[in-house]
Amino acid sequence: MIQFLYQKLRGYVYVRFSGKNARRCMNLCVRQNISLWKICVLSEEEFCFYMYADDIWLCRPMLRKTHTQIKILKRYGVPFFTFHYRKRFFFPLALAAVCLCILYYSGFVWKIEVIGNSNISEDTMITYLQEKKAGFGSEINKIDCPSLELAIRQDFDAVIWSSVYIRGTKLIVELQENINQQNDTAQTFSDPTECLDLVAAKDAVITSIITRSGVPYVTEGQEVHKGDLLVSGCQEIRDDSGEVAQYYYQSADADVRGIVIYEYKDNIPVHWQEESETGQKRTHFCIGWKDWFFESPAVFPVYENSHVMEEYHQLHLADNFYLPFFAGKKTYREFEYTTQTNSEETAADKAKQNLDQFLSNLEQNGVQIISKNVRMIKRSTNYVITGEIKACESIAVPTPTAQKEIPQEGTTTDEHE
Amino acid sequence: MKNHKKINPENLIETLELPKDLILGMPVISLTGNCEILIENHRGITDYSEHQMIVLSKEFRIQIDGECLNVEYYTGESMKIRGQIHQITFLP
Repeated sequence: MIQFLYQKLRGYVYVRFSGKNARRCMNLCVRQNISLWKICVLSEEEFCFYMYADDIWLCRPMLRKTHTQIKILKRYGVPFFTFHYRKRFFFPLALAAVCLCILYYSGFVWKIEVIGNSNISEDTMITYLQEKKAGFGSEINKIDCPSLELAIRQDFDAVIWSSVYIRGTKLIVELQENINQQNDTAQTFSDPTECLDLVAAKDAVITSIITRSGVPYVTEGQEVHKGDLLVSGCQEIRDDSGEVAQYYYQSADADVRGIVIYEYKDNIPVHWQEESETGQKRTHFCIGWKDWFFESPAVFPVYENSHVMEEYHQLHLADNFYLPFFAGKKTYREFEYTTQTNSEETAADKAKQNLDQFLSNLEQNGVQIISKNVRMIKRSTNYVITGEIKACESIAVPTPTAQKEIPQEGTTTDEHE
Repeated sequence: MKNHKKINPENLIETLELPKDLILGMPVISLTGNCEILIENHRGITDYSEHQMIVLSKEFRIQIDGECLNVEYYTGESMKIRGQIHQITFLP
């Protein structure tokens, strides 16, 4: 590639040497450090080959000496190209303008790539970077990658490792997330600087409680409301007189399960409008610069109702050298509204599907379904589905323990406010 | 009477482990399969056709027989020949 570019920049010619001593002339040229390549034998006295354009002047004494004729068959490279278009002033000006434009745009970020994310979406990260002034169109010189890495780790709890670096005009954010964060309660509890209580996440009736650490405040069969203390991380140490001498703090750890009632509501309309595509579609081509997009003028009027599908490609000169120019197309697919009617049977099927989906989502979150009581009532415009779902699930959520003051001698303190 | 022994330069070079191509100007020939040959330290081409090529070196001539032989590049230091090479002969 480098050799090819060098040849193009220097300029080279395809020549024919003819004469009785053509081969000798060729050897003499090589002795003068003239490079020849792709030598082709036409006959005993005729050779064709490529050589650099400026070497022709060097081989003139050898040509005279050996009585060899030279004929330039083809010319290649930048010197000949510029000579050919020497009268077109605007061409080099435009070329220079493009080069300056590329040089100017190379100082900004025009592409953001997020690698290794699973829970944090790419859009979330791009919005975050935009807030940190490291988004699309930000100056590369003003982006401080190490501080950005630190900020990502601090602002996103799920991120345990991050790396931010710039390649060309592309900002690459590599992340490593703690995907087991939701279930990894042990890590939360193991933090020695923070002690945690367990409180009820929702109204429930306790079915089982297994306490590993902390002081339990509820028993099986007890009804609790949202926010009630289940297991405390604060343990009282009493002296001989029965007064609180000291508080011992530890993170509460327990499995607390309870019966929870979920209210289920669904609504299915009797008549509904369906968007059915007519099969008609039109494509408009677009070009864009930063946030500005120019659409090719529509020859035909745009459809009254249409789905629009946009597809854009960003211009890039190399894998990591993106520019703020876009090209793409917009496809309009016409659709029309058709009124459909749900019969009681189809409404029941849809209601069952929605309910199954709801129950499936609950089960995926570790909720055990005990019973369900759902019924459907037909009204003038819609079917109303209501009911109750009885489920058993873990209801404890950690919350920081309120720090208590050690009571002075002769005073009493409430155990928990 | 002093006994002057004539020193053979090749023996001396071998003893001193000097590169022969630099000291004696011997050609270095690199062959890739039977389709490409690279010759360094040559002295020019004496015969060139599609079936036979004779390259001159300091001590001898190298005759390359084959088919569709063509010179990929030809500079003062080296030359590369491509084609179907059948035989390489060293002529005095």
